[in-house]
Amino acid sequence: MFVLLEGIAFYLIFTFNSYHNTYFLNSANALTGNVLNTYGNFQEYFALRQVNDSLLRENSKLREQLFLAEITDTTRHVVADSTGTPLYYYYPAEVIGNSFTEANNYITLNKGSNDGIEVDMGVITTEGIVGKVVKVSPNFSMVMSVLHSSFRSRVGIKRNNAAGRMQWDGRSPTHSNVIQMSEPGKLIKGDSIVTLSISDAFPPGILVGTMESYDKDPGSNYYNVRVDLSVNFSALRYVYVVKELEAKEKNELQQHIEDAGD
Amino acid sequence: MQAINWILRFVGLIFLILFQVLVLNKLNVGTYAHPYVYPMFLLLLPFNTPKWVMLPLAFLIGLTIDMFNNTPGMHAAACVAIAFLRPQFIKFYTPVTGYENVKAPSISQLGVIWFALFTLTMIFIHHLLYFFIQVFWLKDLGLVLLKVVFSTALSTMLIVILAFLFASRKTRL
Repeated sequence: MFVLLEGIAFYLIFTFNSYHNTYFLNSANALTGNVLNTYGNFQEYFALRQVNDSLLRENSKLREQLFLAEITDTTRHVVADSTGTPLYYYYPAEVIGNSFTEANNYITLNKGSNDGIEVDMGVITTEGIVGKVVKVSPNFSMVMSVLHSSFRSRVGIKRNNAAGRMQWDGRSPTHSNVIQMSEPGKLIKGDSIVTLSISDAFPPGILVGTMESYDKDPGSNYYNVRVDLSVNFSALRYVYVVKELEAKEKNELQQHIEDAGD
Repeated sequence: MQAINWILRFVGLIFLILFQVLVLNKLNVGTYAHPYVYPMFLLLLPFNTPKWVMLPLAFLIGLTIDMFNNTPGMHAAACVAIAFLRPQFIKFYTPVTGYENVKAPSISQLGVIWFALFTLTMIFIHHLLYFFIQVFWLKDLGLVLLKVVFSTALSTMLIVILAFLFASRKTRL
């Protein structure tokens, strides 16, 4: 019996990440989702003050952006294209389950397919990027956190668009790494690292963090950068799930280009 | 009496799981210490619990934690292993006077030192397996070992404290 049970356990460990649409044994199922949700509702009352503060901060930031947009017609925060068609839609959601100390971390949200959430959508907060949706049930969804060994995204330096691949080394929940970053100019500590227009699932210009240190990858011209993440994963509460309205078209085009390249 | 005992145990189990999932998992005690106290339920089962009860129970409890944690199979594997090894360690730690009249591990009957040693051993094995399964490949060996050591220390401390709390409640009953 010992061998049998261990066998089942290891079978689960090995197959968990390969089935995309099973939501039975994860935190987005009805049992765990509802327990987490109930507790979240209860806990909410004790956090009203912080929530208020963060909303105020967001409000003032939005006002500032509105002001900037009016006077400079900036294209930095592309929310609509030149014809006025919106490119992104933001679904607000609440974090009901959150891990950040594991080797692979996930976040559970209280919105699911009934609310329009789909697999592969990006998740952000007002502070920065959080992760990508990997599993969806009718009322809950599960997000692969930036703090996950399989999380990958193309990100770059805001100042000059030098791009690299972001991946977590599993060490600290406050830091991540960008590897194989090209170097078009001088790297400066403290530079903002943001998502780029080539990053899938995220709108361009969303903050990832700031550059803490960098070193040259031996044997190549690339740099590895250590990023101080802007999101505090131990205090996640409200997030936005990003729906890219033309994602399907973009993906098909990308697929087409890749096929043509082969 | 036996039935009441088991009901109390399962009430305790639900408390332990909720405490683990809703409180401890959200705690940030630094990079190295991630306490897991829910195996306490398995430690406290009566000495004569048969294997066919113990192992599936361990599996289900581990799986419940896994569901909340999105770590399918990892806690289950670690729990089944300690449930499997438990009788050996109970034998190994037999006090000089034997286990006469003692039905289950408890501080009041076997003393703090016995209880702490037993807990430390079982939790160490549980954490060792869990953290190694989590990383799987033997990269970052130092990091994993640090996690095991610090987490084991913290979990053991918490379990002994909880055992004191539970014990005092039982004597009052």
